[in-house]
Amino acid sequence: MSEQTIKINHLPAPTWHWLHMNDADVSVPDELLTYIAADEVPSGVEKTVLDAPTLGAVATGFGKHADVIFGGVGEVTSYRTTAEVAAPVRLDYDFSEGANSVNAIELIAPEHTEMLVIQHFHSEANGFGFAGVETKYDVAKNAKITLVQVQMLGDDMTFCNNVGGRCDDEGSFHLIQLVLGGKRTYVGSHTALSGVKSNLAVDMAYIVCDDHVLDMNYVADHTGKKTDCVINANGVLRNQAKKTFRGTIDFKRGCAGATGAEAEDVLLMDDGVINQTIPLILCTEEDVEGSHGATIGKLNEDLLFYMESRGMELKDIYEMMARARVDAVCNLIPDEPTRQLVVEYLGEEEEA
Amino acid sequence: MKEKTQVDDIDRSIYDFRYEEKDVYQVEEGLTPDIVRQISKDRNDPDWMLEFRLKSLETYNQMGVPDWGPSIEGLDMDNIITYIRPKSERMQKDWNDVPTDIKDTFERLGIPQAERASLAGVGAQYDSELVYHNIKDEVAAQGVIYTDVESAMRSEYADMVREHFMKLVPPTDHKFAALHGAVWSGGSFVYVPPGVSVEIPLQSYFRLNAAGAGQFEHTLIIVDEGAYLHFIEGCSAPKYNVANLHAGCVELFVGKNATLRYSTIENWSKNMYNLNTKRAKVEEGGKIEWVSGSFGSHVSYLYPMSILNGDNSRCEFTGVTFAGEGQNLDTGTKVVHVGKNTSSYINTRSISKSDGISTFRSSVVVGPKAKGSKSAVSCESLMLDPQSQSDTIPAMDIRTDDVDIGHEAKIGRISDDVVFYLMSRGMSEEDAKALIVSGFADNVSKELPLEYAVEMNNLIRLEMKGSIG
Repeated sequence: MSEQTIKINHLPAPTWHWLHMNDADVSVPDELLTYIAADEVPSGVEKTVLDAPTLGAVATGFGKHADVIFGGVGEVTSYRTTAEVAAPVRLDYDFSEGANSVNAIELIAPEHTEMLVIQHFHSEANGFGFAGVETKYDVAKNAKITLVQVQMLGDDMTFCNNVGGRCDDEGSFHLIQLVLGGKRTYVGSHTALSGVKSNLAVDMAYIVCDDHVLDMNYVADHTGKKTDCVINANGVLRNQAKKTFRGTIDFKRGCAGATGAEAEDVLLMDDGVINQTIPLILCTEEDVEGSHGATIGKLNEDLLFYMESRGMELKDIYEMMARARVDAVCNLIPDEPTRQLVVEYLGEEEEA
Repeated sequence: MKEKTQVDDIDRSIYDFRYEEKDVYQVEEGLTPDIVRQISKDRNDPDWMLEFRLKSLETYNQMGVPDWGPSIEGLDMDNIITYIRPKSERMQKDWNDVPTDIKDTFERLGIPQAERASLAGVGAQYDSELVYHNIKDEVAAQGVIYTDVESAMRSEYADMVREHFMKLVPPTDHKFAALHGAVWSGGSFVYVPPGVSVEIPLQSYFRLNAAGAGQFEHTLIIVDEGAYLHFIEGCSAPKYNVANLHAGCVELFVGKNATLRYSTIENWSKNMYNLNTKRAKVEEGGKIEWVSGSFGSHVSYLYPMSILNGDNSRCEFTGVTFAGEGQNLDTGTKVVHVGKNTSSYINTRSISKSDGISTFRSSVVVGPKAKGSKSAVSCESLMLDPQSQSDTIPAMDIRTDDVDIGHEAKIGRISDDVVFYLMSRGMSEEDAKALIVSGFADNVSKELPLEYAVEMNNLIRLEMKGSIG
């Protein structure tokens, strides 16, 4: 199988090359098949199969080289809400066949509509191959999209998850992500907050084990006045896992009154892990408030003392707190069947 | 009519005076092997140093300019004079023997006065060479060596210099470290013997007077086991319409249980490209304390680096950067945790105004053997108007689980709530704002000796005039 290596997840403002954080290298097979996800489309949502994307120019987290992966997708499926509040759109991606495949969808929320989309990426536990999914969205005035992505892929899969979109006035985009499997997972997300009072929320949780790799790049691009973003990433690294988190709040000139906050909390469970974190704030507007924070390491000693004084074993405390990080994000999913799916998956993992 | 409140740019008039270059020895503009040989010959280098310079030049020619920081397109090495010195007798130990115009320069900068009042020793560099170096007798009697690197290379410390010179910052580190290796001149060598505590600071002051020149001083400090030193570095230059370049190199070796405090107040003129490299290696139980104020230069790349090599070694970095009109100051720090139970504490402030660009850039790297290590990074940025820019780019690379790493950053403008609170306590709005802006840089000024804190506050001179409009 021939493949090429491309660079994705570029930092909007690069730093020293020796840190190897400016971007990520990903190997992409030359031959990629178009994958069509099984979907459940409720009333109030209109599905259209497009020959060419309508949101092709929208920036994504992967950046300029994303076309190498997604440029050849044969058809793009568009989901558009027509009702004020729609039931969930469910998209099931079963990559158990192991073929190298890509998929692209578009989510359109016209004015005063809301849309909940749930993407479930999974395969057999020993699944292998390459899969790419690109999700672009457009949130119109006073509209809202909640996108839930749950990744439970096999131990030998490379997964490229690329997201990008824009929010108009008072538009809202909420991205809830759980990364629970996969050999190499690349996540990119770019949100153009161009509308006045538009906002972005990202709630992300992960468990990365063995020698697996998770590479993330979140960008909130503030150009609209009084825009707001909150990016939270919480996770657990075990064994020889490696994780890179890039998070950028970009306050462009003119976004007066904008606010942004990002936070990362990483629990390091084993000595062989590698954690890379680079949270950026770029600012050419004076009237803004931005902050970021990161906490990386073992559990707080006071917390451990409290738990141990209640009779818990150290190992059990760590397992509980690791699980709590995922549960906290899982509980934000506004869909009981999906929450149950995650609970069952984590239960099986713990038993294994 | 109301006078609009404003925060003034830094007043550089006390630094912005110049003397015509006369009776000087200088090489041609540009950078060639012949120029490097000429510098080496004039400085009477040992053979190994000439070889080192030429190899560094090769490295320089092979490396590219940084593609991740501020633009240095305005810097053309073909137009830079890399070596210029007075023709008169070289370094003096008696202030009266220093040439009059040079002496006047340092008098106006207050260096001799500071030496008398509050320093254990002073070095003064004018363009490419030290013109004056002195150390108080009682400090010298403790075995403390404070001299220029050139003299040290020919003294009983020659082997020590050779053993340490550009070992922490090898010429292959980056293009301008290679440039430094090729054309360095001037700078200071300090050795503090085991157990000796130098109670009052040493200071080196670097003045670049010539238009279109570069300054490439090398500072090498070795603080031996259990010793203590506070070293202060100051720099300034008059403003010209052509680019000047500063590519100095500072190498600090902090021995077991030793402490070194390295303070810098940098006020280069706004035509200066400040591409300086500073690095410290700290052994078991040792501590490096960086205090850094960056106010001048057109473009700065400045990230003092601490290598916490020994177990239980520590570093503290306290910095403030003020970027005004026409300035792009990319500053910060790098820390590498190698030993067990090492700790780093980074606390910085950035202020930008009048289209000035201030970037805080850092890296905290914790190696796999640095178990029990801790790091806390705090950076705050204040933007004083809508034309300025402020970026924060902190990186953390952690390779062991037994660590405690914390990072926080904030960016914003002067808080209306805080102004309101202070006004409710009887302050005028202008006083309230002046207090907030001045206090923002307090993290550095409170770490400096009083005389230098006053100088820094004068340097900032954040004046609030008239009523609020």
